[in-house]
Amino acid sequence: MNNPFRVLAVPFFASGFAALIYQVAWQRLLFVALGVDIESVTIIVSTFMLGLGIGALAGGRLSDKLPDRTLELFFTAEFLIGIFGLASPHLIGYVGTLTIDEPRIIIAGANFLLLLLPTTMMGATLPILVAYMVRSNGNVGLSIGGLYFINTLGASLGALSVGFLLFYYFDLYIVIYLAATINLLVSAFILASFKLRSL
Amino acid sequence: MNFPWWLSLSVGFLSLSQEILWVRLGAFAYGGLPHIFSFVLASYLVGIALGAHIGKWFCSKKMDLYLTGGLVLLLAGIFDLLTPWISSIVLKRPVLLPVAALAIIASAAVKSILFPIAHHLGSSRTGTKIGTSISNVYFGNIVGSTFGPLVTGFYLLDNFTTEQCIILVGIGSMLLGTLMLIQAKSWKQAITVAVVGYVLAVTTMPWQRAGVIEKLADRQNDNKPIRYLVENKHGILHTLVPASGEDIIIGGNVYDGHVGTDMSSNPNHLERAYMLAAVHPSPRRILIVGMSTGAWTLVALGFPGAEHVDVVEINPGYLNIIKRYEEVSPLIDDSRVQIHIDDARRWLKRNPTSKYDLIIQNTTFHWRSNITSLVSIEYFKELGTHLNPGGIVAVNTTGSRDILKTAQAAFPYAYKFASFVYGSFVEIKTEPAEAMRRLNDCKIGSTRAFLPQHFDEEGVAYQIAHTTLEPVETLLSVTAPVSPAIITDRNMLTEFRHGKLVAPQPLRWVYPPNPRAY
Repeated sequence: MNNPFRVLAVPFFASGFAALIYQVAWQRLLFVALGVDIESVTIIVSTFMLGLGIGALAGGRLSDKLPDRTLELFFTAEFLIGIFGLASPHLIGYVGTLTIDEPRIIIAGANFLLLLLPTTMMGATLPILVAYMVRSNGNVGLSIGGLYFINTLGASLGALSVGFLLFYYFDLYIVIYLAATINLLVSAFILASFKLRSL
Repeated sequence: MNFPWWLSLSVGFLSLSQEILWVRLGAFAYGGLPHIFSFVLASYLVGIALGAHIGKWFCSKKMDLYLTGGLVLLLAGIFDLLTPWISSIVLKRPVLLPVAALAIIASAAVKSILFPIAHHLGSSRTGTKIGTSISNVYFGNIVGSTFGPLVTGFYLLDNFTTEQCIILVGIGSMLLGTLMLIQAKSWKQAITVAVVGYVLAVTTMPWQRAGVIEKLADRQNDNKPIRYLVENKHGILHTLVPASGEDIIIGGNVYDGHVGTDMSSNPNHLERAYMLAAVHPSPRRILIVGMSTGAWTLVALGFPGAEHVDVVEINPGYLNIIKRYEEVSPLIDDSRVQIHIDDARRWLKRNPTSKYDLIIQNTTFHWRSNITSLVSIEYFKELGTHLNPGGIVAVNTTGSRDILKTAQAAFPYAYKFASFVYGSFVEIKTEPAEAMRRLNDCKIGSTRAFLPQHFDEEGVAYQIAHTTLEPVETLLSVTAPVSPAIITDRNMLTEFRHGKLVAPQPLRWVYPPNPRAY
């Protein structure tokens, strides 16, 4: 593969697009359970970040242990995010109902555990793909700069679309299902493009 | 942990802190319009993407990345220091929003240039541990990005003004830049860059104390002076001094109400509250959702037979304001009042056994961010479970027909009076003579709420007592260009589809019809 960036650019852009849809939409769902005060916002942001952090650490290490299966890891991450996305509206609602009478720390912990899977997967994708590219071009800054650029650009479009378009046409659940569909399409694209079995 | 790891962490911290501050400024400037969050977030992310792209270019060149990074961070710091001044101009008018987007993009880009640089400096480029070394530096960035919102959103904004927080981020960027310059290969170049950077920072000092909040604050049409300004982590409140009459409280830069309960001038339109005293025979337990100026709470306390008033208010800053006005401050010390600083919906869910004769919600405009949780059908049904037999829920619709429709769906009996909707499980009737007697018994403190002339035929008390409440069903049977619909937690109708923001004419075809567009 001479230039993996060309193949990765579109799916990683789409992945960033879906991620920001989740962030905004899940935040709205969690507000119902947690409230809309500053404490709730902080809990939600920290939960997201903590999951991304764990994913970041895990992604690089996995990539080193399985250097020849990087794209399978990316496929798995996107597929799992998509599957979780489909179930997420009901899961978040269920956990919210289950923990409504619990102290705030228990509610925060339960939601953290719930979102741990998708946020870890989201956090893992960047180091996985950067490591993959560095093995081709030998330049960390060039690889991470390029991938981060395309992923964040997708995220930006996701943020803009949610507030200025998607919420005008669809309700929260449909918007989340849309993001899940994008993740599943990305995983299908990776599967098809790289013919996983031969990698 | 080496320097690049700390660099990655610090850039994440400063960047996310700055994003939070931009969101706060944008939300304040546009009164909590829900789209502003998307606008700022999208602009900021474009900035981060561009910064990463530029940083990538630096990494591909054979240059001293410590010198380059130090220079970039000094510039980022100077930009931060000027942000209060810049934002006080670009956030002032909607026509300047594209310029605001450019400012936000620039402010994010200058910091995120450091993202690839930190990874380039801190990761091994060969060997079997490439992934691990990359993710270690990336993890540092996420740790910083986690603590940025925590420290800034939770601590700094509760102890410093928004403007001071922005200045602190600017100073942080400049200090981080200086630390990078110390490690540059060429001392001469590093000192030159530092001197130029700090001279620029000092030169721009006259613009750094911009008074951004005062400049963006809504002062109404006649530019009223601000009396009090309260900033905390929950939001920004200010009070205005009108040419005559009672002060006005502005919460999150939109009108909240007047400080006062005088029924002769009646700027708060308190007839909407007194209607409840007129129609309910014995309102002993009352819940107030959203305290704001305290005027409505004071009125409820004076209803004949009022024994206990629970108030749920999300922003404790209102208490600071109320304490400063002797017209409303007595409510704080009234033993019948219990004030709960909490999210109303959460508080209701956690107090399922609390029942009330009256629930009064005079919160804020139907188009503001996250208002859905206080106007959706799910919430109205929750309110219904907190009513005593014969109890009434009163909600300010702020002109939204969707809220009327939603209340009608949640309660068998729903009526409109002025901007309010009253919902109940029993029919609400007005008996003029009885209503006049009850209104006559209403008090503010130990004084009667209404003067004798208020009971004359043209008087406000007489008008309240003789008003026939209009059933919502009748009202909604009138055909409108866009039919109102039931608001749910999922459709967030009044924030987006039927919200304040109406697309300009060339883009109308993209959007579903909005009643405001007619």
